[in-house]
Order: sequence, then structure tokens, then C-alpha cells
Amino acid sequence: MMARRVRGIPLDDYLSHLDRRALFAGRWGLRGSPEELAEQGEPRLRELLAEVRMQGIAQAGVAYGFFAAHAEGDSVIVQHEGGEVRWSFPRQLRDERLCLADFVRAEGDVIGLMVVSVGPAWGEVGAAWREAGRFRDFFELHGLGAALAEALADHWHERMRKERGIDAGQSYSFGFPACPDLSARGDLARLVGADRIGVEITDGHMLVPEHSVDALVLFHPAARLFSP
Amino acid sequence: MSSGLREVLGREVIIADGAMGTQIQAARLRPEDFAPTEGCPEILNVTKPQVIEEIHAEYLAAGVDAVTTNTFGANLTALADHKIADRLHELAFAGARLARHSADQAGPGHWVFGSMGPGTKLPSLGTVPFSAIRDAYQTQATAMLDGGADLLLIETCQDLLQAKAAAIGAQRAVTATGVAAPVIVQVTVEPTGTLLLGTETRAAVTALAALGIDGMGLNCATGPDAMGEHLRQVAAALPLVSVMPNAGLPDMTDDGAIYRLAAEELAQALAQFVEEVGVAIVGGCCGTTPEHLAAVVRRLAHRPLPARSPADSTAGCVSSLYHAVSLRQDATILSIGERTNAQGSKAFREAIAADDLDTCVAMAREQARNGAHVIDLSVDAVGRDGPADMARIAARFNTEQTLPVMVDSTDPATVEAALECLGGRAIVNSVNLEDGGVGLRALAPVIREHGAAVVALTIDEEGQARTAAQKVRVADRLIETLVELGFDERDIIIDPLTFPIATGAEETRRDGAETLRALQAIHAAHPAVGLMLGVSNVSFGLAPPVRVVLNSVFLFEAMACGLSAAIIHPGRITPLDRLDPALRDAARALVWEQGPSDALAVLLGAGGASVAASAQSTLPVAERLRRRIIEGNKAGLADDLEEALRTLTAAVIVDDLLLPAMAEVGEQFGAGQTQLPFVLQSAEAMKAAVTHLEPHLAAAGSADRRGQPGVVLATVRGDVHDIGKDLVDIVLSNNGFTVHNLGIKQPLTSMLAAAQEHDALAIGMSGLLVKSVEVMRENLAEMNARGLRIPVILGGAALTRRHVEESLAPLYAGEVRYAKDAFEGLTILRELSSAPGNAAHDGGP
Repeated sequence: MMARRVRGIPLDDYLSHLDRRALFAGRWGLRGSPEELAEQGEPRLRELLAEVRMQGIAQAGVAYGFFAAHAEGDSVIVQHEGGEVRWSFPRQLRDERLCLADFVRAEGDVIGLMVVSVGPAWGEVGAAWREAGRFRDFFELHGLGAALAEALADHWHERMRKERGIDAGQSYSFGFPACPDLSARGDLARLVGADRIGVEITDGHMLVPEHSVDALVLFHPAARLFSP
Repeated sequence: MSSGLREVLGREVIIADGAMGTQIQAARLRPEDFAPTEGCPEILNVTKPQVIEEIHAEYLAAGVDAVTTNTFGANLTALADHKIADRLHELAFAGARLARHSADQAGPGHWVFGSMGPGTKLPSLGTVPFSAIRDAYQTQATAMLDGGADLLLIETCQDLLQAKAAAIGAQRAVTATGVAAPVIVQVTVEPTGTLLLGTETRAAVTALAALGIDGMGLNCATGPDAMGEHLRQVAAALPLVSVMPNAGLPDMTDDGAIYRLAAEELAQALAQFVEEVGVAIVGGCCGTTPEHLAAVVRRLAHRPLPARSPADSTAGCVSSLYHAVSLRQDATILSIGERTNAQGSKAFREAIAADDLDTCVAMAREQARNGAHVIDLSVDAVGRDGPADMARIAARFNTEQTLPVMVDSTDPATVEAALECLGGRAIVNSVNLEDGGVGLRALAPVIREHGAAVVALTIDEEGQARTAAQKVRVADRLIETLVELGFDERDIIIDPLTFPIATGAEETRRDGAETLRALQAIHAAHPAVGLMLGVSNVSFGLAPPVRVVLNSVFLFEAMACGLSAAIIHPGRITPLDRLDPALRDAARALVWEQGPSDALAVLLGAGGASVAASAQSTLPVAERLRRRIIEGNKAGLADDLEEALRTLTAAVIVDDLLLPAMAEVGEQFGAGQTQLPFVLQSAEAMKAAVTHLEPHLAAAGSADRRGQPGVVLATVRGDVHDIGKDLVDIVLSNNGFTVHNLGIKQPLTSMLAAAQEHDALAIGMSGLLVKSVEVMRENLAEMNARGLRIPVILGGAALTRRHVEESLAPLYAGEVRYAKDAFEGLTILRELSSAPGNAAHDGGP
């Protein structure tokens, strides 16, 4: 199986995946009907995107790969060049008693892994704006960077589906209920070579630069989000 | 000589050579060899030709098909730096002759690529004029074609405007010499994914493909691994693709840059580009050697290429220096901002007259903000030097805003002045047939040479076409003429003219309907051609609020008839369902010249009272300042503060006017009446006000701002999140507290040290992670063990009020409080600062 790094992905490639509602209401905290949100949010979005383009703030990179894997009970074992890693996942105690491992075959399956980032400049430019008293710009730039990191992850998930020729499945980011153990991040980052796109994991298992997203990509048609 | 290249180009892979610079260094030349310059590589073409020939021979011996001339710096700016710009022709010619001689020695089927580098000054940065480098490029290209070059390779381009100058210069040389050499342009994409000046690949492809070059590619900056995505974008639009990567990203050592990519790896990567992307010309840039190219030759020599026809032409696309925009927008029209027009906008006209280019740029950015896709730029005004004005403003619009520009002028000198300042792909508005086509044929070559799209107005020898039949006839003629002159239909936009229909004049009543019918007919006959209107004209003469109604209705009716673009005020179009139904219906009736005949009267009668002039300036200054803070409005703040200072001290202004206003903002936020972005805007106004007052506060020596109560803020050890903490910093700082923001991953010791040093009122600990709650627990236990009593405020997504109050507070003898947001933190701090025992803090705000 292979891991690849792709750098310098054009903003226009993933901008269409931007979840505007999540940005305007969720991150920026604006309130109102969808029309009101758009009326307030869209001009600000356009203004910030112009600055992002002129200053080259968006520097999108992806480290990803497809890996042989199989499931054993509540665990998924992933093969890589150096050996294998084993990740265990919690199982729901009621409802359908789902566990992530249920969406991986007991043998001969393939999963995707990715780490994506929109780069370190968002924090640097934001800090400069804050120092200069541009508080609203600073705050909204931060939200935009986070939202674009998610958009990039969505875009790349789609790319990975196309590459595999399978238009099904779900992507999961560590830390969310179905896969709460953040310590698995270190393994994931290592397997895809995230350091080669400038992304590192801190002792606290956080991604640096901040506007980065990791994901485990499963192709099982029944795979969906759930909470144990 | 040269003619054989076109027969193999695109049919089999052509392998070019590698780096010249490192090979020159390896030749261990002495400074004298470069006389009279200090290290100009091109001088060697005449002082040490045998060295250059040997380098060519080495690459040819490795098996390459083409050698690149030692003329990368044989251009205006690079030679001017060496003070030998007058030797440009001589050095370019000599370089080509050397390469020609070497190639001929290697036998038939060996080619000479004439290298044209970017020079040392970029026209987009205003440091060298376009026409100067263009003409020098023509000289260089002519010299190299005379010297035997088979192909002109414009390489390492970082600025689209420079690339355009080189491409035009090269093409002029091809035409003048009659040597049909292909012209290839290679751009340099930085590891960040754009060109140095921020150009996205698709914008580069859009702008360069329109220049009629033969092919495009990438070279330099990175190794092959970073190039794949960009090459795909090039291959989608250009028939010939080239790539010449560096041997990886260099390690910067004491011995200089060391490139680590091995020969086999380069060969493998280039083979993949050929197979997967259809690249037709490969080579190497910095760090590549004859060994590298030998490996490439082993893999790819004479590899046949399948025929390619790019699927994703850039016809119908325009661009700024930054990004590309399609002239056909899905589900909506292309919105062309009308305000930066000296005839249509008094504000713009006055800004130009006052040489206030910052305002001109601000007006462009404002339109982008309001949703314009393209900016219309018109500077034609009586009594001024149009081309000079246009050049100054277009140069600023090139880099300081991100929308493609529609150059609005019919004067060739003005149009050319603009196009020589715009690196992206522009639109020229406009041409017509009023003089039978003389003017059109005078302007068309300039538009074609710069690769711009074109707007054509339905005006012929009989004047402005008024009926649908006339408009269609003139449109047909315009399209035929333009296509004959080489324009692609998708790059042609017809404007069938908009006349005011609400002036009451009888003869204008039908103009709306005639225009709409013309749109339908032209769209049916020429579906690939764009259709545009200057919408605002339709409502000339009506009161402003009614103009919005008529403009909006007319626009939407026109869209239904096939309109694809419109020059509008982007903020002033209203969706139909939000218009007053009576006015909307009257407008529609007027536009289609159907329905009640009193439609015009309805519109003329509406218009209402003009918006009552804001009584802003008649409010007392105290109230004005309060509103500025609450509304976050900085414009004119300084004037209001100066007025207030006439009767109040700076300290009173801050304490009695500004801080209470900020407190009001906080209350509004707490009550859900305002949101964080607006709170921050208020904080900006507050900070701007306090900054303006600083000199007065210091001078008066009163209420030493440094005596404001201080608070220490930090994100705990192991946690990198700080947006929440920084928001708290902003809110507290602008509500009368001095914040010592230590940053992220802070151990307890640094928080305690800072608290002691600044005699802080409290320590605020922030953290996002679940783990950080544990760290806070440990911190509190430690502080307790040390017998400390300074209040601690805890915040962050992983905390709950209950957890803080029930599980964490009991660990510490001092106060422990939970703040769910910055304002709760502010409330807590105010309580703490006015508590007894804090008398030293001046009562606090």
C-alpha cells in the first residue's frame, strides 16, 4: 500500500466544500435566518478570501494513503511497511451495538488514512492582525481557517473515494465519539508521513498547525457516524 | 536547422538538458573570465565559449534531445544589473550559436531551446515597465532565432505580467523573423502551491493559454513530487506540456544548496508524468546533472506519445493575478461591479483627480465584498491623460484586489495602457461598428495580443440599434467579424444596449422589450456567445429606491432571456420576492411594455421621502462616542475624540463614556442581542479610541493606565489552543484591565511568576482538552500546597460549571471561579477588583 503527500492544493479546488452555515453560525457566532446569515456572512467571507489570496495564507497539503487492514473483534489492525498497528474502538452498549471495527472486514480489507492541513500561516497572520487591533478580522480568520480545513478534508475524502473507485463509506476523525482515543493520532500521522506536509502531533495528541484534520476513511457501505 | 522540431513535438517525448549553473561552477572559472562583469554567466558565451560548448556536449553525450542556451539572464533587467544591457543581442546570439553548433555536432534530431529567464525585476511590483522588457525579450528572441534556436523557452516565471511580456516579445520575434519556432512558457509554482505573487495554477493557465502560446509547463522551486497536481491543470487546457523539476528541495548547508533527488528517482517521476499526464517535454532544473539526464534518457528516449486534445479549454474564462473566473456562472449571472467608473461615479472621479489611489482600490475591494465577480474600470474623463490614469490605477488593481478587470475604454492607447499593467486575463469593453469597423480593427490586435476577451456593442453606421431586429443584425455582424479576427465565440460578449425607459419620453417606451427580445434571438442563434447589459441605465431618472426596483426586475427578466453578465452595483440588486409587489409589477409592465399604461406613473410617483439624513452630527459628542463604541464604528472617531477633549479630560472620556459603552455591549451580548463579531468590532473601536487618547492620558499623569488591575492569562501545559484565551484578552483589555497573556502550554511556575511580577488580580487558566482539566486540578493542588490565595478563573470547552464548583474549587483555599465566556470573566474580575482588600487597585472600572 502507498502513502503520498500532495502539497499546494488550489483553494478553488476545496472551497466548494466549505460549510457556510457551520462557519457563519457555528464559528463566527452569527444569528438569524439562513438569509440573514448569508447577508451578514457572505460579504465578510468574500473580503477575507480576498486577503487570503493576496497574502497566500492558504497553503493546503495532504498526506494520505490506503492500507491493508482487517478487523478482530472491536479492533482494527492496519498493515504498514514497518509492521502493523492495532486500534481498539468502543462499542455501543445499546441501540445496534455498533463499533467502528464492524465496518472493516475480518480479512483482506483496505482502509484510507489522511492528515490534511491548510497550513501555518492562519495563526501567524491572525496574531499579527490581533496585535494591530484588527480583532474581528483575527477572530473570523481563525474560524475561516478551521472551516477550510474541514472543507479540505471533505474534498480529499471525495478524492480518495474516486481513487478507490468506491463511492460509499464514512470518514472518522479521532477524538469523536466512535473513536475517542486521541493517542491513535500519532500512529496515523506516522503512517501517512504527515511530517512531510509540516504537520506534527504534540504530546497532548494535538495537530499542529492548528487548522489540520485527520481522518480514518472506511469504505464499507453501511459505515456511518454513531455514538457509543 | 529548425523546421524538423514541429514534426516530432507532441509525437514523441523530447528530453531537454539539466542545470547550466552548477555545471558552470564546476568548471572552476576565475573572476577574470567574467570580465567586464562580476559573475554574469551569459558573458561566458563570448569570453569562454568552449566552456559552454563542453557543457552542452556533456548533456548531448548523456543522450538528451535538446540543449538549452546559456541565455537565462540575457534579458533587460539581469544584464542591466551587470551594466551590460547594451550587449543583450550579442550575448543572446552567441549563446544560440554555441548551442546550435553543439547540437549539429551531435547529428540530426538535436534541438536548441532558447532560454528566456524572468529577469531581476517584476513588472507587477512596478519596478520595471512592461513595454521595456517586452521589447528586450523581442530582441533576445530574435537574436536566438537568428542564431539557430528551434524553440523559445520562457522559463521560471513568477509574475504573469512578466510572462506575458516575454510571450508577446517572443511571438513578435517569430512573426518578424518568419521562423515558426514554438513558444513554451514555464511557470514556477512555490511549495505553497501558488506562484510567488499568489497566482493559483488555474489563473496562470487561463492567462497564458489565451496568449496563443504552443505549450506550458512548470520548472524550478520544487522537485517533481510537488508538481503533479499543477501539471494536470496545465494538461487539461494546453496541447503541449513541459516539466523541468529541481532535483528535490535543497538542504541548505555550509557548502551551499545540496539537492538530494537521485537520478533514478527523477527518471521515475518524469516517466510517470509522461504516462499519467501526457507531458511532452521533460528536463531538469537546479541540481540536475548529466547523470540525472542519462537516467531519464534510459527511461524515456524517443518514447512515443498518444495524441492529446485537452478537454478543458480556458476559452470563456478570465482571471486576475490570483484566481480564474468563468464568464458563465452556474445558476446566476456574472456580476460586473460598476462603481470604479469615472463617468458613472462621482466618488471615483474625485479620487482620481485627487490622486487618491487608495480610495480607488478600496472601492474595488468594496465591490468584491458585495459579490462582484469582475470589476469594470473606466477612467475616461475630460481634460485628463487617460492612458496615464489608467496605467496607475490598473497597476494597483493588478495586485491589490483579486477580481479580474474589465477594461472599459474604446481608446486603443488607454486599453493598451491597462493591459500592460494587468497580469491576469482581462476583458476589453468595448468595440463596435459605428465607423464600419475601422476602430474595431484598430483595437482588435491589441486585444488579441494580450489574449483578452472582448465586449461588442450593437452600434453600427446607423447608430445605436434600437429594435430587436437591428440589434440582432449588428450582433451577427460583430460576431462574424470578431471570429474572423481570431476570437473564440466563448470569449465574445455582446451588449445589445440598455436605454432609460422611465424618462417619460415616448420613443423610449419600447426599448426595454426590444432589448429583451434581442437577447432571446441572439442567444438562440449564438448560444456560446456571452450576453451583457449595463443594467443601471434602464432606470435613469427615477428616485434611487425605485431605481433598485426597476434594475432588479429588468435584470431578472433579462436573465430569463439569456443574459449571462451584467454591469451592476452589486449591493443594490434585490431578489424579486422582496420587492414591493405593486412596484415590481409596474416595473415588469414597463419593461415588457405590456399591462397597465400607468405603470410608469406608478414608478414615478413612488420614490418616497429620501432617507432622513442621519441626525448623527447633531447629537452631543458624548452620545456620538457611545454609539461609536456600541456600533463598532471607527470612521470619524478621531474627530469626535478631539471635540470631546475640548471639554473633558482623557481619563473622564475613558472612564465615563467609553468603558460604560463597552459594558453595554457586554450586556447586549449576554442578553443574546449581539454576537461576537460585532462585540469585537466594538473592541476595535475602543482600542482605537484609547490609542488616540494615550498621549493625553500619559501627559496628564492621571489614572496611570498601567495601574489598571492586571490579570494573567494562559493556556495550560500540554494544550495549544488559544483562540478562546485570546478573545478573553481582547475583551478584558478593552474593558479597563491590563492583560498579561503568556500564551500556550504554560507551566504553573510561569503563571505564578507573572502574577507576582505584575501584582495580578487573578490568574485565568484556559484549556480545550479533557486532559487540560487534569492539569488545572494539579495546578490548583500545587497552589494550595504553597499556601497561595490569588483568585483563579477557569475557562475552556472541556469544563463545566458544575465540575469547577464541585470538584475543582474545593482543592484550593483561594477563590476558584468558572467563566463560560469572556464577559463572565469580566464580571468576575470586576467583582474581584472592587472587593475589599483590593483598595490598592483604584476601585477598578
